[in-house]
Amino acid sequence: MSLLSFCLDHALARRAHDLLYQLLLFAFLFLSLFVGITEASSLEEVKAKAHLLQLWDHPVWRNLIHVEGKNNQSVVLSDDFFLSPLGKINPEAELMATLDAFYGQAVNNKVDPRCRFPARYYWLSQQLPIPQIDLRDPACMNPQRWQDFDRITSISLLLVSGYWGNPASTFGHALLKVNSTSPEDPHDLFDLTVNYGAITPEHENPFRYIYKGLFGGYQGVFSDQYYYTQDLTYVRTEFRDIWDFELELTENEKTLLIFHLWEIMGMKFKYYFLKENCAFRLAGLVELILKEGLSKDKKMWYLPEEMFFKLKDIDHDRMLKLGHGLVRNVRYVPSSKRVLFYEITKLNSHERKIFKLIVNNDVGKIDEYLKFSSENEKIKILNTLLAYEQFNLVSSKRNDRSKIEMIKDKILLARLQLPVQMDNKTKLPPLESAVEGARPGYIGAGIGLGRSGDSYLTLSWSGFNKESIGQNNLQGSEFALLNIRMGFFQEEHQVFVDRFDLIRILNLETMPLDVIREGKYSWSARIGLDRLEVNNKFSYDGLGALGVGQTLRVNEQILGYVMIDAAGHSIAPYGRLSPYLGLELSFGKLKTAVAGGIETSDYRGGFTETCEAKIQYQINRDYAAKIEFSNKLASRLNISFNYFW
Amino acid sequence: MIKRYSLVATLILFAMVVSTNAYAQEAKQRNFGEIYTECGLGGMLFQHKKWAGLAALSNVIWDFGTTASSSALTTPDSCMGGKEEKMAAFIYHTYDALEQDLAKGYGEHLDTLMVLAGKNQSDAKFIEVLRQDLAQVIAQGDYAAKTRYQKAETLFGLVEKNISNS
Repeated sequence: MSLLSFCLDHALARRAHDLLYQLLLFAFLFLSLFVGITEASSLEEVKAKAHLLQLWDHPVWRNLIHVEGKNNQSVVLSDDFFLSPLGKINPEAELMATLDAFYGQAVNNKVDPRCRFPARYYWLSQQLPIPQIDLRDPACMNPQRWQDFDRITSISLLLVSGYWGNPASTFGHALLKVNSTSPEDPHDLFDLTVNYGAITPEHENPFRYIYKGLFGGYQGVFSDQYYYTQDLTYVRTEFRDIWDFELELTENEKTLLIFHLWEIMGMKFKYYFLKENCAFRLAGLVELILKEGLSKDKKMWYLPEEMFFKLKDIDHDRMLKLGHGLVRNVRYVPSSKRVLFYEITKLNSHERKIFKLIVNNDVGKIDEYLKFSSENEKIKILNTLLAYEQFNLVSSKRNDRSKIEMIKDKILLARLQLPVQMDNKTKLPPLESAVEGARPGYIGAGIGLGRSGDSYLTLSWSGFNKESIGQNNLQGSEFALLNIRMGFFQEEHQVFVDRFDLIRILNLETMPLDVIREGKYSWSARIGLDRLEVNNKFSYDGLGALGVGQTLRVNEQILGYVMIDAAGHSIAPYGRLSPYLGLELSFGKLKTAVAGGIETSDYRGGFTETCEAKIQYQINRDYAAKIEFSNKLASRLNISFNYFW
Repeated sequence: MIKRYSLVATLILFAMVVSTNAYAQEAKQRNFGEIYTECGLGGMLFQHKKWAGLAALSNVIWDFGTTASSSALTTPDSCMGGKEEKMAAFIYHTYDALEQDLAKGYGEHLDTLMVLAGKNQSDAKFIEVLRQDLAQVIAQGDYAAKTRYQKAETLFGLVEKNISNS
């Protein structure tokens, strides 16, 4: 036999051997899909199976590495989130690198990769026969120390109400909370919470802050804190309400999500204030365990409320189809201001009188003021005073603080000298969250009536609109962004802008702590465009207005306010003052708002009367019928039918 | 023989000294200032060890002189979740709520402090002693001028003192 023939024979034999091996391997793997293998297989076997199942395309894998959209690119910016140098752009490469790492093939791993990526490990071990590890093994102690898995009971999503003090917080906020039970934590103040926010430098220029926030100039990151820090910030400092939506999840879902929280903590993303913000990223996390989409939205923005509206929709659908929902319970956490206001209203007339006396006079005479009160009354008054002065401290300017501290300490000392007395815990009537009302945007169609009786079609659109006559939880206030009403076919005007609001705010202070020395005011603001009819001709008046006033809430149904607006107009007179009275009536689904006053018409004291009214009936959560009247605008009356989206 | 016994005795003695010393080191508690400095109480808010150098989060307004930043990479293991360290951070950050709860003699924050201190949350005697101690501190007259750090340090000291005395 020549050398060549020997080699050829050998090569052919070898090729046949390889082919046979591959066929046997394929058959083995194919059968194993059905039979299952309880013991760990070799890396090659596992990779082959992963190939067969195309696991890198699985929605869970794509969620685990945060691949969004149709492309294969992860939105995580941090390099150390990936085990493959191509991991950011290639889910398959990342999956294979993860399997390599789990089999100890990765280099320079100080931490077992199964402990570094427990969610990946947890999920992959359910799909593939990879080597097992007990995640409670000392090698994996960090996840265990981070959160005691044995004590976890459930997971909640928290909706935090909006806040005027920071533009980034105007539309509210969302957090995730891992609920646990521990005798060492009787009120769950040490529950873990997960927050997503932009990393911004301190003392950032406001214009740069807005620009970078809108256009992706910041990175965002997930961070973990104890719940008491969130309570301190949102409830006790910013005076915001929280609604805790506890989710109904299986053990498997809970475990996978919590393991993934460990993996994603500290990882960076690009932050976009309007769309890829706190709620969007949290929704992306929770989607890991939901078949239904939570973050998918056609709108150009994603507000925190949006996630909770979708949560509610999923809950409703699951209830219908499966007999159980996604939301187990909603718990309301009132702001400390709301609690204080409620406590003050609960003082009887004598207690309230003494309370005001102490607040408005020399606190050094506190013993004298309390002289004729019983011990129970003293305790109640002092408890409320303490809460009141703490509120003052938090909301005061820095140069007032030392004086308020002194007052507070005198009250504190007086209270400490009286015995402990447990009272009935302040049980506020719960305030419904925003998602119990209509969605914030709407489109509408209607008929307008001009001043001369001519009618025309109208179409309305609003990006964000919470009106006083709407079903929302602003308690009579209003906040609207990008409202436009177009008119069609009015006499010679085919298409025109009937009314436009860039921004419209009516902030009614319905919890006036009227005992304090400084008054608490309501305020309003508007930038918009009005269509007017002057001498049978139409014209547009651009305006910017600011107003200040006071509000009186008579009861749950009736609210009144007085306001004075100062406005700049594009039509003479260019500067105007408008004092007016407002009245709001609320009867369930039917709500009315009326405002009447005067507006200066020149600089010599002349004025015209103004009157606006609107009434809305909420048919259901998605639809409403509305009538609007104005004696000032070209559009005297508009009747519309609106859909909330 | 004597030399061998002496050697053994010396070794035993040495072992006793070393173990006593080790026990003493294990039992040594850090005071509030040491915990504040070594652990960086701002960093105590974050348990995750993997990231650091975080500047203010735009959705958190933190106006108490602490920041939302973390020095987690440099946070010693001994600061990660120990009861004493937890209590120090809790007192520091929630001091105002604790003050109110102590004044009333009850409340969620006081309950939590009691448990962190190893006490039953309804231990009326312990609570009353704390209230009286705090009243004495306030009655000294310079309480309003104290910083948050100083007030928290004082309260931490009062709790520790009363734990030892009970």
